[in-house]
Amino acid sequence: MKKNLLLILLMATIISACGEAGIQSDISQAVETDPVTVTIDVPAQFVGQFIDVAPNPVTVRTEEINITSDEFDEYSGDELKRFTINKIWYKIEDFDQGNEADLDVTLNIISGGSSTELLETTIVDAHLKTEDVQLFDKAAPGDVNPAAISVIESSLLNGTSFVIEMVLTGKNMTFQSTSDTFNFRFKFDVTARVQLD
Amino acid sequence: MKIYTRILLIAGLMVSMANVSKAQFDFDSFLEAGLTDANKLLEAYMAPAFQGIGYGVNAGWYNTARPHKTLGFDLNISVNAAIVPTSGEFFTFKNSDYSNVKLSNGTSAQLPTLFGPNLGADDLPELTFMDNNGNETIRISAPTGLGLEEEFPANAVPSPMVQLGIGLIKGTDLKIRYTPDISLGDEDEVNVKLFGIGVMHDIKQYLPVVNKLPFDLSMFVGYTNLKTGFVIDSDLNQTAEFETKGTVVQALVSKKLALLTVYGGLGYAKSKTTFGLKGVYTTETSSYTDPIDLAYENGGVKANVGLRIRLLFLNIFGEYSFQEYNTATVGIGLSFREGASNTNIPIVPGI
Repeated sequence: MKKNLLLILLMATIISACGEAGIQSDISQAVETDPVTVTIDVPAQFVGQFIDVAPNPVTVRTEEINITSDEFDEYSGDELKRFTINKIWYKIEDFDQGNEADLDVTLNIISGGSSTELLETTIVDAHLKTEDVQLFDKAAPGDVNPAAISVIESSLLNGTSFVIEMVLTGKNMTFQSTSDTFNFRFKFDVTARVQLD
Repeated sequence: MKIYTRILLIAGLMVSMANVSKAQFDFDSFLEAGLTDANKLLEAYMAPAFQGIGYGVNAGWYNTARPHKTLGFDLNISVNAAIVPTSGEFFTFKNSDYSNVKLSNGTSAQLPTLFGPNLGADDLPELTFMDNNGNETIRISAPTGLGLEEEFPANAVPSPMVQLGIGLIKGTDLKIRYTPDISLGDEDEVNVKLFGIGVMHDIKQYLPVVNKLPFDLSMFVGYTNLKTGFVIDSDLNQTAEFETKGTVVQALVSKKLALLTVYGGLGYAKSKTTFGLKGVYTTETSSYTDPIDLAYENGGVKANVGLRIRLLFLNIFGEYSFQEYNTATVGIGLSFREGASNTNIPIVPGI
């Protein structure tokens, strides 16, 4: 009874609605993906020699990427209004010491069974790209295909995953071994627009 | 770690205990910046709410300066609304004041407090939170205000009161504010406990000449203690607690004119509000126990004027207090055996 009395008092004296506009916020975080392993082979007779272009391109795909974090997972689909890709970086890890190469890379975003080219670029001195290298900046998108960025953003919003397919061709190579296995690691700076009613 | 989850939930209690679902804010994110920064940022953001509560609990104690006759009594329910001044809608955030949280662009900015306007993400500066190594952990829009002014008649902090006044002897009233420790919400996630005690004493009786004048004059002293607890996450045993203690000392004067009583008070009021988050809170890098501990104090001259309408035993009253957070009070109550009035005593004996 006392509880009801107080509630009635509160209801009667305070407008019960706390606002209709809801609360909006942007949450941004740089999220790193799992690495994708790339192996480039060199015929034995070319070890230690300069190679203009590797004989065969290499095609690899990342695992299913679901850019997520605890920050974004906390919100339900209704609360997440949009995702924005602000920046994309890559870095190359575990390139064998002594090996040198440039890489022609074509990046494709594969989502829902369809592929959209993200970017064609050349990574000069790939063996030195051990720190984050910016691939895309929303403020200056350059040659990056905006349609591919939209595919990523849609995938995030829909809670679906996507795959990055890389087609790599080594050039200007000098390898001290017949094979080099290294990792590509991507990092996405993502903003989630959250609306709480 | 949900960005908008908890803090506004608590704030929502103060804004509207009847609807807390919207008001959510995640202090876990603040904790990413470390305890010092989290406390500093929350202290500034929440200040109007807790300051307002402090002013509110010191209002609405009386609606006349005339004490009851012995064993006369009144029972009132009222709501005090401490009006947040314009200066309380924003606070200045300076990068130099913080270690692990900075504006993403610029070195200082005006950020809305809880009682500031409800701004969209595009209109809010972005805050970058960093770990102790200076590495960015997350960027978040600065917390928005609730935009109450856009939807309510006033941007105010309400505090409801239930109060009993009993006439003792020699022109003295004892006033009691009380609610037991009651639980609110579907899962009893809110509990509220109120206690207050006040004494009003007719001083006019001791003042020669003045005691012949046609008005009532009393001294009043009152103390209020409001405790509120909030279950944030029952599974994690996380709670929030805030407690407000208010004291007011005033000289009161009132004049009864038929059904109306005009009254006023002048004196000093002070309050202290503490707010704490209890439990263990885990961020991506650290774990904190009882991480937030805020305290707000205010004090100063309090002057108020009020009007009461008496219909048989029913009193309807309204009051306005002038202080840093001006406070409006409305209430209704029943009163029996009010004291004899001096009003009809002729100023010149024999007339």
